Amino acid sequence: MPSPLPRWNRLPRWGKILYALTATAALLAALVYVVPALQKPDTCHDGIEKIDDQCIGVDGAGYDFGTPEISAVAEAIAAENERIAGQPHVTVAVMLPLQSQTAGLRRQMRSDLQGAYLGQRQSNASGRKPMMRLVLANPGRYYAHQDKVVSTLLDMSKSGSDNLRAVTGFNLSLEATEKAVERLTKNGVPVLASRITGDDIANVEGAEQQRFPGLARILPTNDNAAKALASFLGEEGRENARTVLVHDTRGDTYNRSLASAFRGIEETGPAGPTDAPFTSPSINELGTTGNQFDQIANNICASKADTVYFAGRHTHLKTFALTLAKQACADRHFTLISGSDAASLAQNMTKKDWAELRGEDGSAKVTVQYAAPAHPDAWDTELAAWAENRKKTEEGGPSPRPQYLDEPKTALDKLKKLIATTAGEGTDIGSTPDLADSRTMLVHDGVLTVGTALHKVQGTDESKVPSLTDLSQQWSKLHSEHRIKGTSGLICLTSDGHPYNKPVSVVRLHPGKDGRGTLKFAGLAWPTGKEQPENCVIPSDTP
Amino acid sequence: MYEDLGFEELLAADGFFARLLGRSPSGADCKALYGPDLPVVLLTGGPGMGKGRLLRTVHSRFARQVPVIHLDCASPVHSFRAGPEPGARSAVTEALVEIATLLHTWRGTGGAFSFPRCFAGLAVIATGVATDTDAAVRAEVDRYEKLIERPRLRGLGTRDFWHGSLLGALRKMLEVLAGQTLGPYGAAALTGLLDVLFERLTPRGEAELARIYGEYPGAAGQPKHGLHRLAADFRAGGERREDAERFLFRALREDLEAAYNGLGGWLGRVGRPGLLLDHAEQPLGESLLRGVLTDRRDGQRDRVVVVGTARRADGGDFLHGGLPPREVATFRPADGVPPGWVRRRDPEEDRGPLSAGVLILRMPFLTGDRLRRATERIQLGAEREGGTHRRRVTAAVAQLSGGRPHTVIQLATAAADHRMETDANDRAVLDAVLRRPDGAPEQPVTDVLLQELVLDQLPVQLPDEHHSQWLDLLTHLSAAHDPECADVLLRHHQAGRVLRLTAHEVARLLHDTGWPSCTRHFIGDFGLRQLLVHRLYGLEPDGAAWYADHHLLRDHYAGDERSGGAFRSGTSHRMNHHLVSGGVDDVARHLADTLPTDPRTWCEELLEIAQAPYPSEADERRERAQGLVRVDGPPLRRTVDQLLHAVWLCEERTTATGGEMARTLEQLLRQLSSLDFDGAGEFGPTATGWSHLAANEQPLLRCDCTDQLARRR
Repeated sequence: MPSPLPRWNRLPRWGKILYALTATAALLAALVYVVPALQKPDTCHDGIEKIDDQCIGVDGAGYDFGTPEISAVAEAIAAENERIAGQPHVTVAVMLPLQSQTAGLRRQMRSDLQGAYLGQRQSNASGRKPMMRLVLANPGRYYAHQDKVVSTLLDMSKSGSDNLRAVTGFNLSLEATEKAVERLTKNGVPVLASRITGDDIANVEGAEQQRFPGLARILPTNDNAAKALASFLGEEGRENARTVLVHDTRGDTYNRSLASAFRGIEETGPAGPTDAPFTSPSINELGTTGNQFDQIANNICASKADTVYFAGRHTHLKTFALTLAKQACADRHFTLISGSDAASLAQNMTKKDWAELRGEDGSAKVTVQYAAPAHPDAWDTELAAWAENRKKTEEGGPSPRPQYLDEPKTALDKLKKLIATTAGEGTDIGSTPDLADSRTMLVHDGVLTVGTALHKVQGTDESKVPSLTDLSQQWSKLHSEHRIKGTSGLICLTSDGHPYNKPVSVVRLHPGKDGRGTLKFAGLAWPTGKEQPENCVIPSDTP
Repeated sequence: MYEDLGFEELLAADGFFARLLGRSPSGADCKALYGPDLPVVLLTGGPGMGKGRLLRTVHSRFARQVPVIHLDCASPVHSFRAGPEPGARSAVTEALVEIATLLHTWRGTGGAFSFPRCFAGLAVIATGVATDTDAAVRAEVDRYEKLIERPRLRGLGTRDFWHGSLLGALRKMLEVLAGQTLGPYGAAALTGLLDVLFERLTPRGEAELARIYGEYPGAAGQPKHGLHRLAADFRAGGERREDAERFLFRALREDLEAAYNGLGGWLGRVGRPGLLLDHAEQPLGESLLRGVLTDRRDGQRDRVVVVGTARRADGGDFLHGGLPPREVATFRPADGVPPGWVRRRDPEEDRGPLSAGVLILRMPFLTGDRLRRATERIQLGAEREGGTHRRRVTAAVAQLSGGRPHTVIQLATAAADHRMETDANDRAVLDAVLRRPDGAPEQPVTDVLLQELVLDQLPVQLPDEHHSQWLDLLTHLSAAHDPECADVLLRHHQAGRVLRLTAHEVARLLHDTGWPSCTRHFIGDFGLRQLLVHRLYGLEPDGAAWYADHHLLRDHYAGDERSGGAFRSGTSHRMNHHLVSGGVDDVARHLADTLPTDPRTWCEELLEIAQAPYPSEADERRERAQGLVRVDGPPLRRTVDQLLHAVWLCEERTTATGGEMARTLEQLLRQLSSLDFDGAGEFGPTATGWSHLAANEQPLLRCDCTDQLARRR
């Protein structure tokens, strides 16, 4: 059968030229389109790379990174970005892992982003320039692909169209997180870590050369949180014979620093039982920890200890708490004390879990108490207590409510109002934010802090974009008069970027009579052991 | 069916013609041979060598790939068409119009051609019409209008700058002509036409016409003058008309060249255009060849591949300009690769003979192997008596055709149904009847071959009055050996005619027709001679014409004083004719009587006398040579008689001889060597030599015919 295409050597020149041109065009097309397409990484979305089934990258146009829970809030952020697009604005990235197989974690992500959105709304609502454009940066599970995202963010920080000026977010104290923060800050990009407590991702207070220049945090370090807890517990928590430290040996900055903080609590009396280490496979995997916990619980039962410091992640804390609850240890009531990561505990407790924890009268078999970064009931409860106390003492005349309670309460009320407004105007952010888990409040406070810093560095020329340096230098000025009235408490940043004497909310798991239990606010705890001073003026002796 | 017989290499995908035309028969690109100075290729060979067949095959194989035109110059149609308007047309112009028309309708790669340059010339000579009415001129010009019509499939990107202007000029001219009422019509029309033409012409068109017609002799660069003179020369006739025709042909080639040049041509055209001139020895063909050869000698270059035919091995007289033929570049297909060709440098430069621009392609005889295969292929299905018949027929065909392809095809076809005895003379094949595939009545193959080889290809220079007797004269001349005996026959057979042909003229005509010559035979082609001998014997009952001619010649050489011409002596010559016309005993007696003599001389005389055909009747030479037939006379004469018949048989070369006759020859000569006279021993070496030659079917007496046959073996 003759070929439908004439043979090359039978063609006239125009045919050959046509063939050659076609072939060249096809080749060029292949070079221009096919080869890059072959070389081009698999993508989830425009600008979002697909690596190991995860969608890694930066987006501010409403992409949900394959997590349906955050679709609505991502859209809301995109809409806000769209709204301010015509005005002078800078970009702030929220860097958080945005994909998970676990529904509970996906809900946490939504809480985080809701906080970011509300913070953006609040920051932009003032009308002061520059406006804030938010982008979501997904570094992947456990920040595993942070290097790609950080590269993108660094490019954006140099780009005149993006004008990335700060990166906030950061919810896990991991080595990858540390690397990301280090690289960003070394390249001059200011970082405001909203929910990091690990001691390793923090500048050393009073050091001349800071490891993370331009890093600010709005949560006390684990060390400070442990100190606060210790002061909150009073003497009972400091009797060596009655305390035991259970800690996770897996390489995790949070665990390590928390264990170190617990060890640093000055204790009295004879030595108690030795530390009980365990090893978990990962942040949210149990592996063989159940067995390990059984043995540890037995050992603890055999000792005189009734206060357990738990330096581990909330997944393991839950299992340990339930293991301890099952132990029939005669008449002893255990108190389990942990760090900020426990804030996620309540969200991950199923009804069955609550039932197992529940004692006879609705109280807990084991008191699980931890230093939550914030709690929505904190200010009302504390103010009520203050008022009650004041009534008792009746110290002459009316006195103003303490600033350290009143201002955060006002901020929280404002946030609640904003939530209501948002719902009222029909903006879907996925759900009504659950403030109890503190994520929304913390991320909100972080974004608000960045927004406030941006407004402060913006001069009179609204069209001028503040520089990266301007912003990183601004952190240390945010105290005293320039304190941030955060919903989680007053934020007064030290010269090293630490929140001075930021209170933690000590909360307890309260199973209640039936159904899902709640987090019960136990009280505020101060790292220095006492409240923040008037106007949050940082004493000069603070390192 | 046998169109490519013998031409396989020439027609191959990378063969001579594919390389010449720049395209293989399948349409594939081929690296073109030669150029930009192209030789005119002349296929040379006598009748039946397949020149026409080759050109037809080239046309049928290549015409779909490249614009190849086949023009039969022997066709009377061109003269016929030119007839009604001798002042405005000629056979050459009609041939050019035919070529242009064929190319105009060509639909291969690159599409059709248009001929504005040629049209301009044709239009001006159209004003020479005989009838001085405007309608006549208009009708004449109208004939050529299609040559400038926009081709349906135009070359890619060609902008036809001619079309509008020429067509406009044509219309305008016709209007002008309609208004002409006074004066000598042709001149007025010509002036009007030229005025209108140049008035309408685009600058580019004018430059093109200036380039071509501005070079017309006497034009001095002015195209208008050139065209004017062209028309005038054409009307003047004679050599001046030839100049005009040559220019028209050149304009046509320029049109083709233009179609290949330029962006459109470069992109869209492939290979080279070809012009195949069959029977180019005819005046029309010669005129066209002369035109292109002259132009190319003068430095004009075009890519038109011109292939013509020529009967004479040297291509024809017109190539040599009256000078002794110079060496012409020659190519034999058997040589394998096509030769390199460069124009011969003549001392006369552009006044030198035209043969400098020619490449001669000698038409190949079929090689023995190819001939055998062809014969066997033709005879497939006609197998008789095992292989004997086939071998016999194959041998007969080989011998009688001499490898001439046409003769091979016709003889083999006829012999396929012909019964042939093993010991029959090869000429028995000539009695076969040829059945025509087209249903035409069957004819003896001899008649068919003579018709096709002789009557259909009469010498160009043969005066008309001799056309009717040409074959008969040749038939009688088959008995002649040299011009002298030819003249004897010619005088005899032309007695009563006022205008007679002489032997010299006949020899020249045969030479011009491409027949080879032989020092010992007037009809120098062995195959043709056999055909004519066969016809001669059958011309009258009982071979009367044969005997008459030989007796005439025998009697002519009766006197001893005559020189023998091709023979050693008149006596030998006489004895030769006497031998074949019933004088066998006399010849044997003569030979016996001359002994004892010098054996070598005697043997040479014997060979000369016995180199003769045998009358087509019962052949008892074999038996007589072997002494199986009783002969009266003394023993010596009987031995000589035996030897004479053996040599006669061996020398005729149309009968099988082989080992048996070789032994007989040796035995008889040995007997002679034992004769009692001085030198008789010399018969001994001759015995050995002749028996070897006979055993190997080699001629005992060589001549050009035998050499020609040997080449085919």
